[in-house]
Amino acid sequence: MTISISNGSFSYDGKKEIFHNLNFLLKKGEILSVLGPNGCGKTTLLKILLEIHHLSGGVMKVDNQPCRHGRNGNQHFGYVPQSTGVPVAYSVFQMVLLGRSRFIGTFSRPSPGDYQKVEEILKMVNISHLAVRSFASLSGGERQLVLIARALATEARVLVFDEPTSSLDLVNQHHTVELMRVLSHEKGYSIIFSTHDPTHALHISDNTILINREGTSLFGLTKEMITEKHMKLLFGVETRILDLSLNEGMVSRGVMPILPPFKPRAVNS
Amino acid sequence: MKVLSVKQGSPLIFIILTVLVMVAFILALAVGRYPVPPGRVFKILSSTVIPGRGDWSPITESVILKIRLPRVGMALAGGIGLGVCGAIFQGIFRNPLVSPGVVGVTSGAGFGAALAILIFGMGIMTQLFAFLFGGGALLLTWTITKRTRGSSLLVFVLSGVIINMFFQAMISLVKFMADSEEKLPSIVYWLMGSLSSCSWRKISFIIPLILIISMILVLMRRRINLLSLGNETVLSLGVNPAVLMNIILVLTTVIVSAIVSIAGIVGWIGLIIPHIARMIVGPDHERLIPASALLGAIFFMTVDTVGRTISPQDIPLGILTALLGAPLFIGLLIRTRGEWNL
Repeated sequence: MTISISNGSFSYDGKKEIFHNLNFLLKKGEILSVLGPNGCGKTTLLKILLEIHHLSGGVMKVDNQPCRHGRNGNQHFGYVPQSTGVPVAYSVFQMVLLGRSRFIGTFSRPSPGDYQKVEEILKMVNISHLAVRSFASLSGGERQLVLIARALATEARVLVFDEPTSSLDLVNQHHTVELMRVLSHEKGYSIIFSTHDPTHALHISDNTILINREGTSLFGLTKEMITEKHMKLLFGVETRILDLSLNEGMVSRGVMPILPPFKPRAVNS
Repeated sequence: MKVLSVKQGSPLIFIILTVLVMVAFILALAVGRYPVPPGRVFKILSSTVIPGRGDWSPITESVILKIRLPRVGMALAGGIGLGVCGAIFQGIFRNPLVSPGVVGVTSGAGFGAALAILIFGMGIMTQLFAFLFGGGALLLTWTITKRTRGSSLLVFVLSGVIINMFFQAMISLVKFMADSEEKLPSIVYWLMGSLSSCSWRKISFIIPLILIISMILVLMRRRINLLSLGNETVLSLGVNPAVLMNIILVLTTVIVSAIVSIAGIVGWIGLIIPHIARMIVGPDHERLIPASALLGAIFFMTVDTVGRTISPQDIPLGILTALLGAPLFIGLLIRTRGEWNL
């Protein structure tokens, strides 16, 4: 399955554009990162994919067919929100079962097939042991895994992550990033994730969209997008990027490379 | 087995609550100025299904079937309806202070009924006007929310509060204009809530309506659970949150208007019963909505029975629900130390 937007633009009020001339192509099994500072429109772009908002201009295509706006959201995309609390006290099993909502009628009970599917997914994400635990009692990293499992339960082949690592500690950031890599490169899911951390984008994504605060965007291979020059333009600070060719395969070996810290002084623009 | 225990809680509490509903129903029919033993009440009720005559007098049968049954039936249906609506409203607005009155429907329907009493006197127009203005209040709340271009829950609740206040003022205006000898007392008494005017003619349509819609909402409870997850997530799960929300609002408006059209304004049950249900079965709508329905029925039948037996004249429901509900609620609050969440 391929997803693309060509010449996309969006504005909430018809006047100020959040972004314009946005282009990207996502193929099966690829990871696309959306990188930019806070407030640049990353989340807006994800909402467009999920059909909460619609493009003001340009075309979104799924498998080269223009996307028809359905009333019940875009069934091609499974959504993994930022890890947050949930008002209803769900167990992990119930939480993942919600992912089957599309297949369960408004007045129906989940079928044995739905329960089986949830069990399979819990096993796949390696959280079967948490099934009876209350979602609210889990750590941030465990919650993230449950939310990923719920998105997988929708049977969507494209997973949309909203800043998946922003509220996690280093170990859980690594687990999440590694799981995203496995899902994409080994299980064939396509993944789009927003982030303001160039390190994660550099480590796992194949392609990257950069969006700045003015709504200008750039799309290309991640290693061509995440450069010291682009980071300076995007975030306004000096960066140094390590030569990762020495460490190829590091992430898949379970080692989390760390980008050298930003220099504390801001660049005079 | 493990999965089974995850997906379902213990059914025991629902068995207990259902038995309590039946006990309250029979007792409510038995108790009154003309007491009838519960066993005989049961036999009289059975005789409507299984033909045959017992050893009771026609007066006893008439008291049970013609006078008390419509009233207790309405209390049962009204309690179920208010319990379901209250639990749903507190869940979808994620606010423990919300009751079915929050979108302005109760006041709207109350104003419609008061206006009908002013113009036509008590009668069928009271019910019709209650429905019309209840629906009108929801439409106004909707329109204001749409005009702000927002669909946020806070804007919706705020619009509802404003519409509520508007219709409260309109009710006061109707009272101000009413003839103080005849119509004002009946408007005031009616607004305080009472089931004393229940007759088969009035409720033969209303009770099935409330029960059927409540059943639909109970069956939709898994979907209603979804609304607590945020719009992006709900949409990605294949459910349109705006459509679901609108369906729920229309269905609850019909229930609330139907209850107001017969019983007047009975505000407390929709607020307090979901909290008590939550203390017992937890916040998951899968269990909360049916529990709230059963508790609502028990509470409404009890309050109405107490109201018509402890004094020669019926004590209005609005007074009794608060007088009985407040200590009950405070007691439960202290016992559970407030350790339950929405």
